[in-house]
Formats: sequence, C-alpha cells, structure tokens
Amino acid sequence: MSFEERNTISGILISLVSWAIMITTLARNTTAGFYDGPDGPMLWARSVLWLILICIGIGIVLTILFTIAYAIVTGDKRPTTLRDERDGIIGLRGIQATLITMSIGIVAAIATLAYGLPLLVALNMILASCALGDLAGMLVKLVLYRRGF
Amino acid sequence: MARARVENCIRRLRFDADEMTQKDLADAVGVTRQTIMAIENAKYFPSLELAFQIAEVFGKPLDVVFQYIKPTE
Repeated sequence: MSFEERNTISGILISLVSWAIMITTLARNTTAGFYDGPDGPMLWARSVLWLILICIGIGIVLTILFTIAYAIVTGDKRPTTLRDERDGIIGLRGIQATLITMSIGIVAAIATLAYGLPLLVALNMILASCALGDLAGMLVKLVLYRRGF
Repeated sequence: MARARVENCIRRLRFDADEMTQKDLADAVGVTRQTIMAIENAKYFPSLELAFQIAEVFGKPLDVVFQYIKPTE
C-alpha cells in the first residue's frame, strides 16, 4: 500500500469521526434552541469555527496514531512517503469529485434561500456539502487506488 | 470500434534483467511499486518522461518497451 493510499484510508476515517462530532454537536445545539433568534447565524458560525479547530486537532492526533499503527502492523519502521505522478492524477480526480459535490450543495443551499427557508438551513447545507464533498473525493481516490487506476 | 491502447513488455524485460523486482524498477525511476504494477497491467499509462526513464533502465528504445496498438474498425 502506497503512502497516498494509506493517507486516503486514514483520511476517510478521520473525516467520518470529525463530521460525526460536528453533526452531533450542531444537531444538539439546534434542538436546544441555541441558534434561535436574530443572533442565531452568528452563534452557529462561532460553533462551527470552534468545531473546525477541534476537528483539525483530532485529525492531527489520528494521523499520528494511524502512522504508528501502520508501522507496528506491517513491521515497516521507515514507511515511504513517496508521491509520484499517478498519485498526482488520482488526487486531481478526487478534487474533481469534491468540487462537483460541493457545487451541487451550494446550489441547493441557494435554492433553499430562494424558496424562503431559514438561513440556518442554507448554512447547514453548505457545511454538509463540504463534508460530503470531502468524503466523495477520498472515496473516488480509494476506488482508483484499489482498481489500480 | 476497438479503442487504441498502449501495451508494454516491462514484465518480460524485468525477467530478462536478472529477474529485477517491481520494487527495484520503482526505486530506479522514483515511483511507487504500485505504479509499476499499474503500468505493467496497462491500467495506467505513464507520462512520456517516466516512459523514457523506464526504457533507459533496461537500455532499450522507447518503442521496444511500449507499443502503440492502433484502433481497429
């Protein structure tokens, strides 16, 4: 398994953990009425900024743990970090999938505003499209790595 | 109409080159073993630069290592 393929698998797991934390926190706060009222979008944005920082921290810790676990399981004390032209092209395909998914989400968010739904619904849709786009990109990369290209 | 494709004889050339492993070839041209495997199985077509590098490792011209198969009607 190449360095980038391993990164993709750990990236999917980190993404799932991070977004699970984000969704549960935002859903809990929304249910509790934390984002109600005129200050709702501002409070939502503050929550998301904090959650992004927390998720970055979790991502760093999990990446280190995955790297250590991989070295222990494979017995490879100096795993390669080589990234070649095939990784570059697979990465571009992943970015393409991410951008398409995010674009659909953003257009859907604009549509919700156009149909008079609350601003928070649109903001949550944009956030969700980022999450799904990230995941879609990594899944496309994983499929390409598993197939050989 | 069958599509054009690029075939290669890297596997045979490796065997002829004292049974060179995919890892040895990968290290010689600076790519991963998985990329060499994908090229050998014609799942990935290398850049011109990488193709020349592979040919150089075996000391063969490019058209001996890689063959362009024209599309058939």
